[in-house]
Amino acid sequence: MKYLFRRTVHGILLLIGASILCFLFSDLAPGSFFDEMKLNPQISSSTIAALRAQYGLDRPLPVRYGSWVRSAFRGEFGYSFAYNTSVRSLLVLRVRNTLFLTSLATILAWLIAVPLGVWIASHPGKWVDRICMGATSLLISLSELVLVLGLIYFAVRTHALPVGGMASTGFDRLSVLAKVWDLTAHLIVPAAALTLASLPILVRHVRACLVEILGTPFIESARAHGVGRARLLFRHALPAAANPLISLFGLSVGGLLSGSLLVEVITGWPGLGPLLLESSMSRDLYVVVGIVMASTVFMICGNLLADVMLVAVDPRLRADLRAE
Amino acid sequence: MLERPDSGEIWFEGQSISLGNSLQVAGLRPKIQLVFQDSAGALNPRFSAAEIIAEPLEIQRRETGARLRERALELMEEVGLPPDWANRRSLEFSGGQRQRLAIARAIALKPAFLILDESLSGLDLSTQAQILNLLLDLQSAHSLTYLLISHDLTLVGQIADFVAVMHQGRIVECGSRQQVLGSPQHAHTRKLVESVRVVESAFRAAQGGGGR
Repeated sequence: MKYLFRRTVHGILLLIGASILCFLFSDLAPGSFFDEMKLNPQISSSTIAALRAQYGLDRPLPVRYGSWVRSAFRGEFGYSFAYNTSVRSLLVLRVRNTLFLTSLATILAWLIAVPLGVWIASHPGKWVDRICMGATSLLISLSELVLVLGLIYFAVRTHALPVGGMASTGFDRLSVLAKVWDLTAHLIVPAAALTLASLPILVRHVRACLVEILGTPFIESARAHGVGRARLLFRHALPAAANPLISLFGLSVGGLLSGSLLVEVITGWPGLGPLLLESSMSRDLYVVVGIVMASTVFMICGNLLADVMLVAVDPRLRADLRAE
Repeated sequence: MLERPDSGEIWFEGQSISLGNSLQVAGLRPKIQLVFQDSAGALNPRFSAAEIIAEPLEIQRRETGARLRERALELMEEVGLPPDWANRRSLEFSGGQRQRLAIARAIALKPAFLILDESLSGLDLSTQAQILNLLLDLQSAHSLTYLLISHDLTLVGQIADFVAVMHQGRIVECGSRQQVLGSPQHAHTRKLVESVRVVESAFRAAQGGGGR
């Protein structure tokens, strides 16, 4: 409990540091949201100066940071110049869409990776192992971009799946069942791309961790005592190999908000990706800060989750904590 | 089976064991159990003492549920470990205690035959003597047959009825303990016996000289 509290405090300190850095860096970036207006001869420079003053952009950085923190405590997280609304109201829907896509892809990737990795680890050097290792190195070397473009090409060619967006036009008029089907059809291309992109690394990690454990003496000795293959793999080897995998799982939970940006932009998924791109281009400062902070929160929570799981799974860590 | 023999045969209780016959091997498993040299490596570090001892009973479906744990505690008592330590992990035990744990696991299925692969060589002398006594007690209590693999002739002299000496992968001499250790025939056996005598006489000389 004390451990959890300490880790949470660490997380909060990290969050504060990240927000300061985020402000500093966004301030260093050239240009501001109102620069484009300067090109327009109909808007006088005094109007622009008045707008800047209205949004507080003329004030020094620490003051702006202070008012952002106050706004964050009110739950607004700043204001979007482009959308004329609080950043939170802008983000809620986007975060939901992104999480929907990425959690599905992450769950799928882990559900496939663990059994597959365990299976090929128990046949090292056999043909299944070789085929899987070849396929995973191919997938690793293909970038996400190539994967998603390939899937879009396939979808366009076969007309089997819709390309782009999250829903068809006239979505609201569909029946519940048709809505679910429409959503699923739109989901397949981005979800498959994300799953395929993260799968090979997971499979290789599971395999590597297990192969290492399977070579240790206590596994040999359990085998000599007649422990069967399934029990050996899932009761002896997998728990022993779990620690690095749990840390990796924490990372993949932490990447839920930021891992799919590129895929979202290309497939037109209305999540955080397109919004981040658009707001960075137009220097919609607080939206960018809001998205970066949301990803940071996820990263910290993912690692916290991994820490808690590690303590729950590893008796040695529990013993260390008791000893403290 | 961990290794397949290149040549030769294995006989047990008047039967030739064919390793291809997995049914036969599985049937013999409860009768033949092993204790290894390195007890720290041979026991799963994540399992509690009770889980380690209970595992053979569990996979052979001899006991289930609460009886399983009860039996594990009985076995701990039998090998001289306090049953209160049942929830400790193997690495929380000392080397000698761990070897007792490994012995408890090996006798859990009431085997007829125990292979002790250098099981006493990782231990200091006093612990070694305690474990040796435990093994002798268990032998008379359960009428066990031991196959002790060791480089330590003093130890062999204390426990063995029948001795076989191996040199470069072959048995060069075998016979009763008195025969082999008393009047060694093969050059290698003589060297081994001699090495023990050298240590003993050096020890006596040191004692005779008297400590300061």
